[in-house]
Amino acid sequence: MSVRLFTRILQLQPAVKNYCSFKSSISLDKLYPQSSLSITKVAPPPQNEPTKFSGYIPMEKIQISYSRSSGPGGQNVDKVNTKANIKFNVHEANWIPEVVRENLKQKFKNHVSKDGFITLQSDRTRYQHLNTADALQKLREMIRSCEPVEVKELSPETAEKLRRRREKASRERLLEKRARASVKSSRGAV
Amino acid sequence: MSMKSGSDWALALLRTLPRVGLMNLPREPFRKHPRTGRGQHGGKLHGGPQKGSYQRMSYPRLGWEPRKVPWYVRVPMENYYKDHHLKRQYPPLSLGTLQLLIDTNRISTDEPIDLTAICNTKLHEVRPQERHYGFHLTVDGIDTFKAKVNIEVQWTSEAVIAAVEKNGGTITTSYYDLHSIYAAKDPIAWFRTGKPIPKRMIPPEDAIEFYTNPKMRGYLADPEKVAEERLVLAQKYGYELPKIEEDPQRDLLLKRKDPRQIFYGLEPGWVVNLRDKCILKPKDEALLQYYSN
Repeated sequence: MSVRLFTRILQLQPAVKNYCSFKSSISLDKLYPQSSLSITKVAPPPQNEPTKFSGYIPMEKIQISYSRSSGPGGQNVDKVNTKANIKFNVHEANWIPEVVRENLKQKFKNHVSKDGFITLQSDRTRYQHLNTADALQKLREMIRSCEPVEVKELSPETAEKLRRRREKASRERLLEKRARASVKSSRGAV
Repeated sequence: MSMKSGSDWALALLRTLPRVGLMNLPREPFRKHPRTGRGQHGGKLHGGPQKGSYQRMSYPRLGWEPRKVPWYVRVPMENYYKDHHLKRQYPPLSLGTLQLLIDTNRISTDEPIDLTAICNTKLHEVRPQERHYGFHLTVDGIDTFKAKVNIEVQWTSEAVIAAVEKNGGTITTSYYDLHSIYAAKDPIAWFRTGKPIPKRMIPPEDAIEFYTNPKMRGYLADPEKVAEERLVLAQKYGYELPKIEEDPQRDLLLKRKDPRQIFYGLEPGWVVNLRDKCILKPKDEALLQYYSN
């Protein structure tokens, strides 16, 4: 390749190029020698456990739409789409563990539409961006509330303590009841 | 061996003694003026007037004002502003303003946006004499922000980071000490002074946590952890994380300054000569050592 052609190729390089490769004593490669120094390295999303939702929601599986919010706020609330609505089909939600999905269908039976869609909204803040985050948080909380709760086995001492508490509560209730009854019966003509 | 003369002794002494300074000077050996009230004509009234509160030492208390409530009683103390003049300030720049600047071609998105780029618009300034340490990118106008930028600011919040990354851009928070701010805010004026480009200092103790935090995209944070946080934020705010590696503007978006650098493409220690259109670089070992540290 001729020198002329080589210089022409160099000239045609993109305008933005870090010609200065200055590295001080606190450059990132010295602060983090083990690191790959790449912010684009995408980690694989966390996996779900059989009875536990990892928290990862694939964005292509849910539908996010925006509408106008309710409440006071004048022209801004009348015109700007700040409310975030999330819709997803609970029957096709493979990203939720099986057990949790079944619990979801049971617990939120009244919230599931005929076609199997659950909808969530948020108009908590003035911004659509922040309302989306809030709606997603609500969704995660909803799913996590349907995770099967591990029933802890009570020790005999604790079981006995709880039984005694219940008995005492009953005893006191009956004492009060009898006292009230005697007050009522002693009313009347002296 | 010849006898040492007085001057030889003096010179030998001078070689060993410390440098003369205010802390080294002895007191005046002789009193220049007599003490008040002891001289022939300075006595009796000690230079003051006759009679009255001056002679009788019965002046009113400090701060007293005749016929009005004194200033120190009248004006209340508001402790919320205590030490405000010593605190770091980051004048706000909203996302809406940034979008406007881009839409009206005041700022180009073909180059990375930093403090210098924003100050060059001459519409927003930073005043280091008032302890402004750079810009604070705020959340106002977040819903209409659509630009894809590589931006470097001095303070920001999580929602703003999410908004910038959602559009495929990158954001970094970077610390500039006051001396560097003077250079960064008006590079032409700085170069005209003939001073070398300063090296940026590391953040103070109360700021180092912020600038090493990957969540806040600190310039001193581990980039691998920043990559993890990008996914976390994408999940939190509900968008698909854009793939920077496949972006045609990849080089622009990943362009970063060294922690000691103020200007892209220029190193600390260089003197930029605008008139002769050349750059003077230091050759002395000590200077090179200092600026590369």
